Amino acid sequence: MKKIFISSTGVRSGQSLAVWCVGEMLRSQGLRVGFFKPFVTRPVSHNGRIIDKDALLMKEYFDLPEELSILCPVVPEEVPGDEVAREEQLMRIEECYEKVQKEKDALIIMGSEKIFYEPDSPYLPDGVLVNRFNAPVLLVDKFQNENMSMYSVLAIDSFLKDKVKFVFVNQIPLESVDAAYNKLVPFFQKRGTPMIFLVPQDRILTSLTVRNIVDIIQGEVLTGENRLENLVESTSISSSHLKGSLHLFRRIYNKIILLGLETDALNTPLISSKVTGILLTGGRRPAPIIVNTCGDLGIPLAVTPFDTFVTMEKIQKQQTHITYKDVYKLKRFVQLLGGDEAIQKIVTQLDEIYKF
Amino acid sequence: MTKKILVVDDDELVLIALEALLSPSGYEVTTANNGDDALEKLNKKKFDLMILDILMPGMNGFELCEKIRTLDEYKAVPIIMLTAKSGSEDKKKGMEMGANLFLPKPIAPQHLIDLIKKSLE
Repeated sequence: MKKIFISSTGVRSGQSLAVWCVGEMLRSQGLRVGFFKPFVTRPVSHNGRIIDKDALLMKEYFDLPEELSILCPVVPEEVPGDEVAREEQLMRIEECYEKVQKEKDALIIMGSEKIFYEPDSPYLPDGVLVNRFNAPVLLVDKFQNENMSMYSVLAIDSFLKDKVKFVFVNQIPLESVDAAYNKLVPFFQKRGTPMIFLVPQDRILTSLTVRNIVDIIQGEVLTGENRLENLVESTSISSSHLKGSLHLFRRIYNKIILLGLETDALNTPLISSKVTGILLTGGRRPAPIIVNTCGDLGIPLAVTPFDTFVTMEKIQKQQTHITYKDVYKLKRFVQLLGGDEAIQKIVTQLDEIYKF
Repeated sequence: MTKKILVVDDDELVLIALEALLSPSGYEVTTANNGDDALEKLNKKKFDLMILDILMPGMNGFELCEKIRTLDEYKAVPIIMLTAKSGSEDKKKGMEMGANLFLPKPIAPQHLIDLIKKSLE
C-alpha cells in the first residue's frame, strides 16, 4: 500500500484542498484510496459528537466505509496532555490506522495544521507521526516570500531526514510568481528533491458561491434556485451594476448585490463584473414585480432577516471550509497545479518510492 | 550597522535554510559545519549572535557553547541552541553551558526571526 503524509507549514495553507486533490489523483489511477487524520483540527458538531470537517469531506467524496471516529479519532484537549495521555492517544491512533488501511491501495494521512514546533500544541507533532507511519511527505506551504518558503522546506526536510518528497507552495500573489519560480524551482530541481509545485493565488479558490452566502445569512431563496452555484467574487451596496431590467432595484435600499466575474469560453475570468445574485436585507419581502424580474433573468434573489450591516459583516467574516460540493475548487486546484502533467509526476514519483 | 550571525550545524540543509531566511532580513550570515570551524571563524570576525546545533560530530553544541563562553569578547553575546533534542535535561544542560535560548527544531521562520531580533536588542 502506498502512503503519503500531507502536512502544512501553517494555518489556511490550502492543506484540505491538497489532500482532496491528491486523493482524487490517486483514485483516477484506479487505486482504492483511504484517508486518515489522527487529530481533529477542524471541529464541527455532528449528531451530538465532535467530528472533523476534513474527515467528513473525504468520507462523503470518496464514499469511505469507516466511521468518522475511526477516520479521525482523537479530539485533543485544550491543554497538552502528559506522557501517559500522549501514549494513550498514540495507541488509539495506531488502532484506527490499522482499520483504515485495510483493503486500500493508497492511504492519505493528514497532519495537523502546523508542522513547526509549538510549545503548547495539543497535538502530537507531525514529525512524530511521519516517523511512526514511515510515510513520504507532501508539504503544503502558504507562500509569504521565497526565502520563507525555502527555509520552511529545507528546515523541515532536514528535520524529517529527507522524507519531504513533494511541496505545494500555495497562494502565491501574481506579482510574486516570477520571483518564486526563478528562485525556488531551479534550486530544488538542482537538488533533485523535493518535487516542487507553485500554485498562484486564484479568485475562484477563494470565492464563495451564492449558496454558501445564502446559508451564512440564513436566507430564503425566492428565485434562481438553479444558479446558486454561481461564484461570488465581491459584494456591493451600490446600484451602479444594476443595468437593464435590474434598474428596478435601484429604488430598493436594503439590498446587497453579489458580483461575479464574466468568464469567456475557456472559463477564464475576464475583468468585468456581473450580477450573480441579489440579497434583500431586513426581512422585508419584495413586491411581485421585483421577484418576477429576477425570476425572468434567472438571477438568484434571497431575503435575509439580518440588516445590511450585519449581513455584510457575516459574509466578510465567513471563511468557508471546503465541502464535497466544491468540486469546482478541486478541479481548479488541479488545473493550477499543472493538470495531467502534475498528476503524472506525482503518481510516478510515488510509484518510484514504493518500488522497492 | 549590519548584525553578524554565525550559524553552526553539520547539516548543510540547515545552513542553507538559515542563510536563506536571515540574509534577506538584513543580517550578515556566516556558516560553519563543525565546532572547530566555528572557533576559527570566531577568531577572525566579531559576531553579534550565534545559532548552534547540538548534535554534531566531534565537538558537540554543548562543548562548543562552553568554549565560546571562555572567550572574553563572547561572554555576553547571545547564543541560541537550535536542536532536535527537546528534552528538559538537554535544555538545562544548554543553559548551564551558557546558552541564552534553547529552541526545538523545526522552528517557524517568523518566530525565529522575532526571537533573533529580540535577542539582539
